[in-house]
Amino acid sequence: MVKRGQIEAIGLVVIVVLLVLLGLFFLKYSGKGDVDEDRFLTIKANNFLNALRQVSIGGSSFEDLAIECCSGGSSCAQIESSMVANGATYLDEDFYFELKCVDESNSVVKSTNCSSTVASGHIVLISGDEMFVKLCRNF
Amino acid sequence: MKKGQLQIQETAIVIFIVTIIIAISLIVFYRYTVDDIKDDNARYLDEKAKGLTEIISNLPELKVSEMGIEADWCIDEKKAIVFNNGFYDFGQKRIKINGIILYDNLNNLVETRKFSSPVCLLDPVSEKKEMAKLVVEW
Repeated sequence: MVKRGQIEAIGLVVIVVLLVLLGLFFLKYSGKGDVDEDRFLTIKANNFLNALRQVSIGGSSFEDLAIECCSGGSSCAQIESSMVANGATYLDEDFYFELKCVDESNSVVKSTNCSSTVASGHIVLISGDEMFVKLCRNF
Repeated sequence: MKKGQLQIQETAIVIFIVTIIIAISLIVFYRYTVDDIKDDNARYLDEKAKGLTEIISNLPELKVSEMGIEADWCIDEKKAIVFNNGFYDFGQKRIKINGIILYDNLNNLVETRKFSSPVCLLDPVSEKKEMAKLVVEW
């Protein structure tokens, strides 16, 4: 016959084992977030923006056309179509793009519906206009 | 059966049950640890491969330069074509920009993973800059 003390001892051992297992699962799922994925999405967003800035469109660079667009020129549609086409071809994620003109007259925006994004750094053009990209998180 | 024998049997049963519980715990812990190590290893390989997109796009051997000085944040197409010289060991990977293979050591891996990043590619002859896809497979 098992004594009462022995039953309690077994109970304690079972509780300790369960607590250890719970602790292990907690350690497994805590502290491993999406930080790493964010880092690579940021690299990708920065690479895209840096590349887009220099892409040649009909003899001019994207940057030159963006400056022209912000100063009231007619190149806004051209840079918008180039940005959308390049994004669709060279990014695997949906993206948000904004060219923010200094005087806020002729900004170009490509919006997206995703709720969670990772942003690139802002590139400030010689004219003071800014552009940046946000990539959608796929996870 | 004597009282002493009964007590010995009780103790033996308790030790047996506790040993089984500990053995099951150890097996669970071992499997968990092995799975965790495998996950960590896969995560490490993923990070290493994805990080290559940043390293490759900043290699002086590939970047556009004038008189040996880096000129642009672009990859020189002609440098990319002659890059595959075996100087770098990136492990079991295939790295390519558009159609140009920079490094190929996949060794017929059945299941591969892929990460890509846009880069600027310059044709030094026409001086035309276009966007390209730098793809790392591992």
